[in-house]
Amino acid sequence: MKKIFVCGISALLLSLQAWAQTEYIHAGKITFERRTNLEKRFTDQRMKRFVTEENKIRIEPFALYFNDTSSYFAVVPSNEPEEMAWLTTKNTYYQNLKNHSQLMMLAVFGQSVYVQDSLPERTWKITDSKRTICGYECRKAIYQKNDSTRLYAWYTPMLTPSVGPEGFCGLPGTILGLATEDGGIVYFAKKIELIEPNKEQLILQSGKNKVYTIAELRSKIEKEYGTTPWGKRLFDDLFRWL
Amino acid sequence: MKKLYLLSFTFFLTFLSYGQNMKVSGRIVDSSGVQPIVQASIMAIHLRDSVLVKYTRSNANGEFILNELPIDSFQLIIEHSNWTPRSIYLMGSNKKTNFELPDVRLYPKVQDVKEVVVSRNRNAMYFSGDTLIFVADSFKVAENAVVEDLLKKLPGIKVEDDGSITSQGKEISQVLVDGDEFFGSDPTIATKNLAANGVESVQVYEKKNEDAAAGEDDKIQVLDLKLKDEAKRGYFGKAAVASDFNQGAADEAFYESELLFNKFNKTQKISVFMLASNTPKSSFGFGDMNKFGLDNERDESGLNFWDRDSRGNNSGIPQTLKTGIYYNDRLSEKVKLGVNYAYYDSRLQANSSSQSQYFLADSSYFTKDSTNNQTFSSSHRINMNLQIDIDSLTKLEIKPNVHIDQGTQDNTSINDFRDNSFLSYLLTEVNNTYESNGVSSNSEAILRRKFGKKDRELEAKYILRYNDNTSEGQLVTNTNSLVFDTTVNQRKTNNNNSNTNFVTLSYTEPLSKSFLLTTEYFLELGASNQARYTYNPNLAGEFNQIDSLFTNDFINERFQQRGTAILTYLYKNHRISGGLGYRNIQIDNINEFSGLGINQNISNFLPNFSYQFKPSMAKRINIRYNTSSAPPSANDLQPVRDNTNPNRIQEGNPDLQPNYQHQLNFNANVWQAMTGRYFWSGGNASLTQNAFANSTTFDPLGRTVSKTVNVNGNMFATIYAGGGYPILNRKLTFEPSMNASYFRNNNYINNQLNTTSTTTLNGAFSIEVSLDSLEFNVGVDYTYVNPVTTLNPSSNQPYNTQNYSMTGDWRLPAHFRLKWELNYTMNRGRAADFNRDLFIVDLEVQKAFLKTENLILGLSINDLLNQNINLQRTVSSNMITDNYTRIISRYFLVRLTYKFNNNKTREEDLRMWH
Repeated sequence: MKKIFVCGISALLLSLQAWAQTEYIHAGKITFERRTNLEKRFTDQRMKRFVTEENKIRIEPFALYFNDTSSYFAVVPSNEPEEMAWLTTKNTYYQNLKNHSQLMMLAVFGQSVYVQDSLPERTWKITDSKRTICGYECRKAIYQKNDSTRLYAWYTPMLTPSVGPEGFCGLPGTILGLATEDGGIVYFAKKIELIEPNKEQLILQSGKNKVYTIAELRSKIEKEYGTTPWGKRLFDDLFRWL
Repeated sequence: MKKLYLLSFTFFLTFLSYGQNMKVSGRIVDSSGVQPIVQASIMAIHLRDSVLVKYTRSNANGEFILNELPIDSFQLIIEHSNWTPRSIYLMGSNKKTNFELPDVRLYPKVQDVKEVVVSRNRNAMYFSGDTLIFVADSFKVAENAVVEDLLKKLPGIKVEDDGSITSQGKEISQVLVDGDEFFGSDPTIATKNLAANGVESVQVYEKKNEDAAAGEDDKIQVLDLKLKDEAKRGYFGKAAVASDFNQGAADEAFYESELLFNKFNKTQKISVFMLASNTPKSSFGFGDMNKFGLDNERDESGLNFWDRDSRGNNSGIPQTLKTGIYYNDRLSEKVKLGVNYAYYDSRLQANSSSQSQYFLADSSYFTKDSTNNQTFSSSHRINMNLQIDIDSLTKLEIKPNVHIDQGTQDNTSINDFRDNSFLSYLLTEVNNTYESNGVSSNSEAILRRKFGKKDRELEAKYILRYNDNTSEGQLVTNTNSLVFDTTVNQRKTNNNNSNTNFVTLSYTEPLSKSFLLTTEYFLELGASNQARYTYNPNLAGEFNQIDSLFTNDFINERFQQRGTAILTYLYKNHRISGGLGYRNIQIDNINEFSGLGINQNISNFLPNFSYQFKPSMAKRINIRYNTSSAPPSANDLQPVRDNTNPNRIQEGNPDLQPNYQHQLNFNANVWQAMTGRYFWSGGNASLTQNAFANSTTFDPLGRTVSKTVNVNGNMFATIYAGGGYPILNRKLTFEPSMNASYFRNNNYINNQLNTTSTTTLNGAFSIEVSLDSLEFNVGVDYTYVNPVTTLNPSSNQPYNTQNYSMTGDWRLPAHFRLKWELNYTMNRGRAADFNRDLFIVDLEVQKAFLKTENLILGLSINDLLNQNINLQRTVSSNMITDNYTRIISRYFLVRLTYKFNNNKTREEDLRMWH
């Protein structure tokens, strides 16, 4: 309830501001809520054992900091203990829109793996469908990842940087909603703060760790885990958004 | 509403300069046509597939330009949040590549309405409302096809290798059969087991999903198989027979046979099983027990995921027959019922011999014992399991069971006592036969209730343990020594019965987000009665003279209550909990024979503590401390002598007190997914006060009388660690491991305290190779044991065992398969005859026949070199025993296995995690 209120207020202020100045937003912090329906996520009966009536909907907050040139997306750290944290992924992305590159930190069974690559080139299909998220009118775009996987993104041209959750970008505006087609995993913006993120909020460093490219990581995981069913699950989880 | 701008300018001369690209430029203005619209977004979208090709925004003057578009037809969407979006269609061609749009006006927002198109026809596939229906018979499939094959033929439906299904690119979350789930929620069980020709129609529709995210697609896609009436049933099974056709060295032929059959009919499932063998194989494989749902056989076999190739009965020459039936049905949405009956019949002939050396304070002597033991036991077992979902938060589970057991035993043993110089001075022959009958039950009822508040939980549990056992037997012993000969000839009857009730009530309340309080109340109320009667013969040879030395009637009553409170604190990846229990136990021992009673009333505090830290899913640390207290068994309490072996008399001790044990354990595990490395380590320690130990008194001939007494200071500690280090893309893995342990046990020898301390060190190293068709493992294992006793240091002899092993599984072309297991064991530091080296070689060759590979012919050789013996050294208090048991050594078997199902398709064995 509180969240909706905050969202409503900020939207109201924003739209007033927009009307008054017709000025678009180029920097800020967006708090996303991710809802994962574990029952939909795991078709495998053995994994389903971990899913109960109480835990089947998992809600996790994520934050996206952005300005004209860069974005940083990560889970909001929590002090509350999380049961079976491994049921969902928590990736971190830093994107540099100027030199078209990104650095990602992916968790592979609890181990942080760094991946450096260029910004993804996705083919988007634009639809006429629209909905309002956090006070912004968003247009639905569809990304056909492969034969069987489609992802939906709702973006608003009001926020000008081409950024979004899970490193999704390439639309004429900021993505405020991202969902797998079956609704199994859904990101929605819950709060938009008009702040100018500082340097510390827009940084991710790989340190001394080995850095892979997406292709390198893909072939490594495929080669070493590809034959097992749980390896396929790991693969799906890791590359769902890449 | 959609306006088409056909720009009819013709620039014949300018197209040359633009080559393969198109260019669009223009200016966006408001409805007045004057005010420029800034920051409007302009998207160029391919008309044929809606793909976004390029986008830009209007500048401060409302102007925009899109360069380098491929030559094609485009929809230009121009939008700004304050205005109605607008589309412009551009038909590009080699002749028309440059579009200069005049001022594009945007208008204030209006509502638009969408039309709905409904189409309907009757064909091989059609829509009925929102449901897509395929008429199954319209799609031709092979004769024995299963549903999965049918689905692959349906337009728009795709079946992945793992069995998951998509329809029009959208995942099917559930497969229903006539609207109901088929054997749980795994869709592949239905699609792989039902025959395609039994399906009348396949329907795909969306079902409301109340748990979807707010505003998100709140529907899941369902595939519903409507079956023809005759097709709602099916079966699958396995039959195997094996024999050596009496070609081996043993007197009779070795055989093994197995039959497993599973039949399903709607929600009803029936499994029938049978196993008969006279080899060490005494239970089904772990995979088969899971596949055919034989839960009780699995639990009782002791096999588990980690030890599924256990070799079975190795304590003699066995003969096993097991058979039974399982019935499961979902009676209604909320009620599940399972009933099963099993009959076991097992015979075991065990011949063993042992040599023991006894150390007394000032002397030592030997015994050579040999035993021939024939047991026959049979058992009828009925188990039931009823699960009722009373409502969405309340579950009730009732699990009654009854076992009816019968057994006979015929045991002959010879004890040969020898002095220091190994000369025989006392020889006893004992023959003990008895027959027993019993009924027992271990029934449970559990009620679990959850509440709207997270983590609040109530659980009530009731357990009834009942046992009634009677036995009748005869004891004949002959003892010859240098100075006397004695003979015992007695009849014995035992009647044991016990009835214990346990009640546990526990309630967890979340005090805040990070604190949980659990309170538990435990009650035990039980009574047991042991009546042992021993009769000597009268002059006429009738066994009617009660021998009061070996006769008693004993009642033990217990009333135990315990209250526990545990506070748990949760913070990030940490979980800390600590609690305290208070326990009171009242024990009344009544000796009906003498009329004497002993009452005990003991209270203890039972603290516990645990800490868990999980920095990530692949790293964890656990530390746990707890205390427990167990009451003595009625057998240890019963104040009567047991002269089953006249040289080893056991006596009860009604003064025994409950023990009190402190236990501490920790473990730490790490796994690195990227490298595949893992490491595990841990340790346990326990210290027991009032531990149950033997107090043994030796007479001058070395014969003993012993009873159980309470001792202090018994302890046990162990640490272990190991890991895996893969190289070459995990094709080769090095696996080192170690463990070290220390025991300290106190007991009494001739009323003198004797402490035995045993130190064990073990190190192992193995290399695992895993290729596509070949897997094998080579390992070495070394164990060093050093037992030290205080009473007689001359018994302190360390010994060691080395083991070298190699196992493998190779899938060869033409459906051949080769498996092997080689074990070389070296025993050192034991009594002279027992320092043996053993080399056990097991081999198996298989070939699969038929298109489905369901018929498998195999030849297996167990213990090719005929060296398998069961050899064990035990060191306890003041004695060292080396024991040898004759078990089945070399045998070979020709085995024929046939797997089948109602669809005549390949029947897969259940593999882990598949």
